[in-house]
Amino acid sequence: MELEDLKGLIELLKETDITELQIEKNGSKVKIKREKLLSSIEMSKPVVAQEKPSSEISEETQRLITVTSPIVGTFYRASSPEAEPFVQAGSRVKKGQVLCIIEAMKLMNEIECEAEGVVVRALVENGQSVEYGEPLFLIEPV
Amino acid sequence: MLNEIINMFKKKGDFVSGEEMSKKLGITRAAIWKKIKILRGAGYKIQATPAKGYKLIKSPEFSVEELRTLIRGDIGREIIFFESIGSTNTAALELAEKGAPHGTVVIADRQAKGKGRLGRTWVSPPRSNIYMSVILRPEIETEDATLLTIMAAVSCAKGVMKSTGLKAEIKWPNDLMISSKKLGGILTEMKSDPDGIVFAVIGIGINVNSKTKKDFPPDIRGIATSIREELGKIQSRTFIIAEILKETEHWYRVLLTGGRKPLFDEWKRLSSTLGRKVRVTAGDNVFTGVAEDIDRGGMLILRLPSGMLKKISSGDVTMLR
Repeated sequence: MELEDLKGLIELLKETDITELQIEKNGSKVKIKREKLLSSIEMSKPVVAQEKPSSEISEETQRLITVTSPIVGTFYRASSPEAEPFVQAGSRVKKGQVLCIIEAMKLMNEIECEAEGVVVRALVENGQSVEYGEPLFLIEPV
Repeated sequence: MLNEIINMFKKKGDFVSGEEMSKKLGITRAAIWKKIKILRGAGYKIQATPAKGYKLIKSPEFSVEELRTLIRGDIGREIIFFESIGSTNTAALELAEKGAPHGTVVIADRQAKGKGRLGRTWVSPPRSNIYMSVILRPEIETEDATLLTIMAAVSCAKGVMKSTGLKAEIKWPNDLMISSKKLGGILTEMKSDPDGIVFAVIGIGINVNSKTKKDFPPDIRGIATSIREELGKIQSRTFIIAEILKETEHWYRVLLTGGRKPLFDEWKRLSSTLGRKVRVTAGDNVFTGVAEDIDRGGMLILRLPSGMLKKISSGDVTMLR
């Protein structure tokens, strides 16, 4: 089994609820296991926990806005490969400011920030494919 | 007013008297004469004969006034024309942001910064090709937005076929091809909010009267073509655009009322990609396989050499032998 196949398999698995898969082919055996996807609130915990005492965590995480992808596509942090990213962790953003582009079939969807705030974290790497509803950014509103 | 005069000429197909025109349009005969001079300036050949009136002999290769006379539906009801602009998509995005209605069309004679995918340039020599953006305000789910690019591909291919007789094919997702050379491209830009699609701008570039050897940079000469090169003579952009907008009107309605099946069936009929061995370059990843089908959103389903299926949401497709 080639790396290409493995990648394809993992991609396919992402689109399902299956968490464990075992395949035997031409004598080679592959087992893929994955954790259930964390919800956006759970994912945001470690970031906040580093700086805040635990008693404040739940209050703080609820304040964070999770920007999700409205379509299946490819995530871009900049308008072209040479351009600077639209935003980075720590960037101050305004309501309506472009955070990233999701491309699907030459349809470029600019994702705008829905509130004024600060980017706490970008959750996806440039060029990576994202699913419908996948968390992209955590924004701390101000 | 100018398009009404052109309409009168076309309806009659013969001389129209100055008196007839001034009655119908409610302006003086001297004012009619001024309008005729404007049309002549725009490239119309109009014969003026005393006692008979005016007769249209020949229309120019492109005229926005004439295009307006050919529009019947919502798409193109409002046409905004620029002799020169950075990019029709950028202009259309700004207009849409300011509230331009569904169906507004932006056309330019030349683009200084024609847009391609991911910051690439669309080569846009002056007064020869179609550079056009259509503003849509579709009432469909955001996750179905990719259907708009399928719809645009079908509309452009059908429009080119009906107006020129050329067999245009679609390379996934929406490149227009003639005998494996690129004739046109479509780049859609969209704005959505948590409630849904606010608007989509469909940017259409089609090589009509360009000579690829003269007008295009060396790196794309061999892989591009134009309608003029395929047919051996200059074609009217007016009629090609009119057919494309008419098809867009039709297929947009099909998308909203008939759903994706009839649209996808047509796309598959026009597709040159399905069933072929292809290479897809998606960022740093390259996949080779057979283009087996498209999924319900129009994404490409590739069968890898191992037999595994891989779904592609974006990338450049190259046909392999």
